[in-house]
Amino acid sequence: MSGRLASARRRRDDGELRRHLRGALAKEELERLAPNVEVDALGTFCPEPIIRTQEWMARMGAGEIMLLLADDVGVEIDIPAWCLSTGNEYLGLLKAETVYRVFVRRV
Amino acid sequence: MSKQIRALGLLSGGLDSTLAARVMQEQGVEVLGLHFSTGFCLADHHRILGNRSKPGKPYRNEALRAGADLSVPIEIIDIKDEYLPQVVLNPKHGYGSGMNPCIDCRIFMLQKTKSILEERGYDFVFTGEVLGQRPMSQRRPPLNEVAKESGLGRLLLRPLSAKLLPESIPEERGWVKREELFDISGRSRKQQMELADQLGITDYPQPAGGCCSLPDKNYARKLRDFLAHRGTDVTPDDMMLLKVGRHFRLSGQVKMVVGRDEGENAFLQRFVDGRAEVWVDEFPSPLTLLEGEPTAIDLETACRITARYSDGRDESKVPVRWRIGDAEGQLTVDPFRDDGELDELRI
Repeated sequence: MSGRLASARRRRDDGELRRHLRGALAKEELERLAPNVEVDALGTFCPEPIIRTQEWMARMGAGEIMLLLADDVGVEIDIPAWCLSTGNEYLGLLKAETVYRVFVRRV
Repeated sequence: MSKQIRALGLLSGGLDSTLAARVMQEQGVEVLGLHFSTGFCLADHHRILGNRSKPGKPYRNEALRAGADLSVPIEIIDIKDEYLPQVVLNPKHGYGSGMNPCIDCRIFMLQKTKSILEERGYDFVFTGEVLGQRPMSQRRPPLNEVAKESGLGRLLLRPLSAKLLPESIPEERGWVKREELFDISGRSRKQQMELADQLGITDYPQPAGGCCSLPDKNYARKLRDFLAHRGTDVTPDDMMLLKVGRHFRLSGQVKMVVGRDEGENAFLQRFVDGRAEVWVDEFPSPLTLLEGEPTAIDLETACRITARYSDGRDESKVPVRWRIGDAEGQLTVDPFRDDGELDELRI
């Protein structure tokens, strides 16, 4: 194999990803949030919750908060990952039985 | 100030596409990862069934995971409605070992990518393709064909094998340095794993092999049977049903799908409209769906097979419930015991 690597570019470590899964806000803070947009993805599975998230986030203004309703367990990891990749802020999620309420702030 | 070069990358989240994206970042290229959702992703399907990759861990979307690791924004594009009729059912370049139309699939995705490139003013497109890695789509002739038929031509860069391929426009114009690209080829992943080590990439799917149902021989057999009996009048729901359960063909018009566990039974429950249902009340049992219009003999066979896969399989007689539209009933049957005969019905 030939080829040269220009730099040791910083990469996120697993610990950073794990910490990010917890979200930026505590449960009590999430419960007090007043989202600007509520997006219903109940009954849908990957990648539909992400597709709806990216479509709505593209229409929202900076600082606005989206609440995603979903019952696909994968949102626990996919939404934080999507936020890390796009630079939006993952605020956290609340789970009641099988329904997730996921909060994301548009950056 | 020099212009920021922007590239679109096809990002599945597998090792090769992750490396390709990272190599582009190393060269200062701004990357947007595109992930096409075809409806045939195995991880998506596991999630629908409620399966976990490890205890307590849901199956993850590898493209999003890679995007998070690399800080590459990922855009997921849903193509399943077009993909089925245009690619899966009608591939110009044929199928691989299963029902995988890999060459047409690449062309289709790259045609979509080219539209995005033109609409949004990106400079070029890259993929994680490696020369000689896959027997159907990554030999030299299909790589050339994919570049040509997608309309991208020399705007398509394969960073991992670039030194073995003709110079692309991004290299020619100095947007990327050819000497800092790679000459990886062949089916071994050893070189890619070494490169991943150098780049500090440790989290990628193992083993390799992709996330698509279509190369799977069992899935392909069911799909061929479906197309032989139903023609190309196919919906995405039909394709989903092929991924689940044991399938038996009772006649040219009638087939049955038997759930293998609780997750599959719950999944099949979503598809009862327009199909006959068969189940056992007295014992834990699969849910069986029948497609087509079953005769009395078909129904009895379906009840016997359902009884065989229920916990009443060792009983001499098992009462089996059935529902067809508004009609409901019960047949008391001896569970199907002849393995050879059952295998003849199995798709």
